[in-house]
Amino acid sequence: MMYQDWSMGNPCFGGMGHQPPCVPYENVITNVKLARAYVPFQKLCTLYPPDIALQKGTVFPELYSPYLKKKDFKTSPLMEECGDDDE
Amino acid sequence: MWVYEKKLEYPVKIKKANPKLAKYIITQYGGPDGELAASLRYLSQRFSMVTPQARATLNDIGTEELAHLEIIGTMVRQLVEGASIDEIKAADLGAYYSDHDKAIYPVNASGVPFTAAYVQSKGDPITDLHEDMAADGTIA
Amino acid sequence: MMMNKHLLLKRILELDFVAVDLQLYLNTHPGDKEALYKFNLTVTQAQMLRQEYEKMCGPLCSYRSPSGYPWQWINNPWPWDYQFNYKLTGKEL
Repeated sequence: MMYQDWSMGNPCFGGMGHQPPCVPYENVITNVKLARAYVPFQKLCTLYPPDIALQKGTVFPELYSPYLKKKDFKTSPLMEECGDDDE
Repeated sequence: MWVYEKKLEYPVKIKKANPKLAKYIITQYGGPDGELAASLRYLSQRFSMVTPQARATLNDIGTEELAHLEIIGTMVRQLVEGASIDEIKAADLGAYYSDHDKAIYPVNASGVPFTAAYVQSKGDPITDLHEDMAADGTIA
Repeated sequence: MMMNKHLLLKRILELDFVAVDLQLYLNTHPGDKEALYKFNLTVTQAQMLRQEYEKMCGPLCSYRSPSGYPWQWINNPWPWDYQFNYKLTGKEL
């Protein structure tokens, strides 16, 4: 049975270096108004393979956000900036 | 309308009964942040949405939350099914058992029955979307 | 393609999950060609597996597929039963 393996290894999520070619969300939001909340728009980058996607609860690496024990907070990927706006 | 597929979205295979755990997990079934509340919230709010994207999104997320409801119900059921009455009493589920036996009934972890007061549907799409994010978005 | 029913079910659950997640993404990104392509690929695969599963285990839906005799839909096990579900590998995250 052939599986589509789309895990090309987004370097943003633990792969090949620190120059991500694909950022899975917009990081500039324009035309904002006061007293409004905005949510960055998601962009498609890579997908988990189906078996991993089901285990992780999402097919999008950028949306994988597991509960962590308090002691694991500092080393969690969420605490690292990854391909974010450094400007 | 809804179509039911005879499968769980994620498998549940719990052999060892654990009523103590069941007492906490049931809040994800009938509690304020549970899947019943989530389904009802999205499926009610969808009527007020305007753009095709928003209508589809709320419709489909509400549907998925029903699938989650099934998973949680299954978990509680399997956690309690093989337990003895003594184990149930020791787990502080004796009161629940008096009214429901080993059945699944929508309550929170304290036994408070489900209420629509857990959801909101205000008619303004942006307002409703904020309610959705507040209710659904858990930040670790 | 001989798979036992639990393995078949596992594959369907996985593909369906990807399809649902992609479908939710497409709801807000209707113009994303790549996502659409991957979605169509996924559902085509899932459809084939679904047919195989139904041949082996009876209908997945109560009113969409033909049934053998006697009426198969009501058969045990149901999804909330222990024996309906496949064992996880133990390497889950």
